[in-house]
Amino acid sequence: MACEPNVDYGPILRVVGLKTYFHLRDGTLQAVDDVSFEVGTGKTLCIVGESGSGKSVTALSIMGLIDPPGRIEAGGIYHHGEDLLELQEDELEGRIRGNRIGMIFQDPMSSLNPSFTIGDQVAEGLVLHRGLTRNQARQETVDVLRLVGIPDAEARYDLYPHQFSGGMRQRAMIAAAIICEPDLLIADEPTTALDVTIQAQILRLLAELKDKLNSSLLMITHDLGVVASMADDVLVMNAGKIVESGTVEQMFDSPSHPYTQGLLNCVIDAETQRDGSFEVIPGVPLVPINPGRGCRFKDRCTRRFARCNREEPVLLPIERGHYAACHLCDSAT
Amino acid sequence: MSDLLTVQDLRKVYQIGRKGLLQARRAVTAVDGVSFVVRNGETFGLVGESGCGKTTTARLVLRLVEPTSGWIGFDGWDLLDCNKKEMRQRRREMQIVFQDPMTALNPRMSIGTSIADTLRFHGIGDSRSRVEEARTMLEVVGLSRSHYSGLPHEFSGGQCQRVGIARALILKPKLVLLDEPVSSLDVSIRAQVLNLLRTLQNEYGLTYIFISHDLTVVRKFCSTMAVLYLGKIVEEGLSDAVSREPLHPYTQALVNSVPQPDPRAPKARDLVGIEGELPSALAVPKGCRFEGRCPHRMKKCAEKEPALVDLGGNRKVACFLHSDAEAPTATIS
Ligand SMILES: Nc1ncnc2c1ncn2[C@@H]1O[C@H](COP(=O)(O)OP(=O)(O)OP(=O)(O)O)[C@@H](O)[C@H]1O
Ligand SMILES: Nc1ncnc2c1ncn2[C@@H]1O[C@H](COP(=O)(O)OP(=O)(O)OP(=O)(O)O)[C@@H](O)[C@H]1O
Ligand SMILES: [Mg+2]
Ligand SMILES: [Mg+2]
Repeated sequence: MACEPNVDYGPILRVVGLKTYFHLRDGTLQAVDDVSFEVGTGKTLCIVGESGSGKSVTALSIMGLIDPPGRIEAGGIYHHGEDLLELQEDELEGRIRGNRIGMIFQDPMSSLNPSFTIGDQVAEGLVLHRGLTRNQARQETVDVLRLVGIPDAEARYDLYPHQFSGGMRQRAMIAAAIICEPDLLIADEPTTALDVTIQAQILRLLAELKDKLNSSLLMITHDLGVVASMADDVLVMNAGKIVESGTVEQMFDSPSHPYTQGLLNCVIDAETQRDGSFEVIPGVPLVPINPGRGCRFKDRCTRRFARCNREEPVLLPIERGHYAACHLCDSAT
Repeated sequence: MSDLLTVQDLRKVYQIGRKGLLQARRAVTAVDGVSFVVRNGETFGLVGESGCGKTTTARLVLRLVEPTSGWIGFDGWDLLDCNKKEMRQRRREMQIVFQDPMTALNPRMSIGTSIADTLRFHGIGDSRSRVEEARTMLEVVGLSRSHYSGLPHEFSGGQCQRVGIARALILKPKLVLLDEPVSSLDVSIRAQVLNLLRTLQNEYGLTYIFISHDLTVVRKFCSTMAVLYLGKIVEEGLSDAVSREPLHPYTQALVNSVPQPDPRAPKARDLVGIEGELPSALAVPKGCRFEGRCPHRMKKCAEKEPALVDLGGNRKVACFLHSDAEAPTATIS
């Protein structure tokens, strides 16, 4: 498959100061609050964090899929240097979404339409972006279905989603996302609903496709095993904020934010004594509705001190390429 | 340790609707000749992928669905021989915590009432004492007495799971069946609930059957485990030994498919998984059920079904690599 030459090898995607808020009855939910990061060309960036931390909202913001009561309040989303937030909806739809940026959604069942055949849905991108008729698109679609490991693809083209297993549906979703050979693939928990043997197959497929298509991958997960096996770079999110970012080695070898350390401790270490207790992070994640002053992790943090109540920490570098938002890591303290 | 629960050759066949008038009704054997023993005070793990029959096994043990055949002994009782009244009494001693904490609770009923209702159903105490006991139970599971009148939607997933546990434990049962009690929870919350379950087990001398698809959790939480594949146990043993040195190729695949939270462990593209997917329960293969996906399959595997053989040291395996014994052919289908 052909790919467009990358003249510069800078980031394929740069998100700057993104704020996506939901205006709810109880107040403003700061679902994504001042988030900045880059996806390097040809790299895999994993966003990790607990439920409600803002991972999906970040992905949906990039895709331009935030609807009221949600609103992007501020920020820039630069794809090859072009600010997607400046584009009109029809431009985004016609040129970017599903074409240059492909997305695999969190819930495969609800994102496939039960009343259309798998083949027609996978072919959608070719019809929309390349102006092919479904007949013209058929052969290419069958090829892509085969590429994602759907056996007997020719015959299965005409089946409906309910006639596919969970793993096969996820493969079909991936096929739909890559059919226009996007240079950026966003995958939101692509394996969470799958069994572990199928998860392993899908993760391998994603890693292989990324190389084959010469694209970059932004992957959302809450599973640190998935992070370690897929990521070049990692972002850790908590309550709408990035608390730490760095390479996968930095994150696992020298986690610096107490939240990252807590998450890693929670991962069950198979070698420890069976009767030992499980490490926890006390309390529950903060829901950032009118979050108030100070650090959003302070109520769960065992190492908080006076400054954490007063002042919100910002991301500061701790070593090359490794950032943390914690007053403990601030050498000025 | 004495035996609390003995399950022998348990089988459940579901008849499902015919597809056309001329077609025969089709049968799904959800649980196909399962036998195991759970000892007093132990935690017995039941592991396997979606659809392998874990939940059905749990429901059969409680007689929430009637087995097609088999025998269940519980605490000196022949369970399938118990009449309605005797069964009601037994159910006080065997409780279940359901798979999905949110949907297991009535959305319009306060969580306190949900808990107290279990007592009412069994005719225990008066309304006053039931409320008091439910409040105490809320404290036992780490919630507060004041949560009594809250509605389910006001609680997080982890909190709802605590309510589910409170509801199961208020009857002071001997055996608790935990159906994926932590699967829907975030890692930090998962650890909190596992610790709670362990504390309560020690405090009340509970016996657990712990259903999960997560081998890592089972390894650390359970003393013994059985691996189910398409309604049959393929391997059984001490959970640490089985995870450390799996003998059945399916157990090996499960262990090897889990991505490790270590950037130096094999990357996703190098995970030694297995090909293919779980065959449909409607078309169970003739010989060994795992034959089609097995990297070690031999000629006879497609023709004959291996028996679950005791290898000593608490280990049982159903695989011709380890024993030539064949399974007796099933009588019903
Ligand atoms: N359409 C919406 N309306 C109101 N609030 C929303 C909406 N979508 C998301 N939110 C809120 O925004 C916050 C972030 O949600 P998001 O879906 O990004 O979480 P997540 O990190 O993807 O979690 P999960 O792991 O559960 O998928 C949450 O508090 C969520 O309730
Ligand atoms: N009431 C029913 N009627 C027909 N088939 C059923 C019924 N209940 C379960 N089955 C079938 O029996 C098999 C075992 O289902 P079961 O729910 O026990 O699996 P499980 O191991 O708990 O899976 P999961 O991990 O998805 O919860 C599946 O093939 C399922 O479709
Ligand atoms: Mg999400
Ligand atoms: Mg189940």
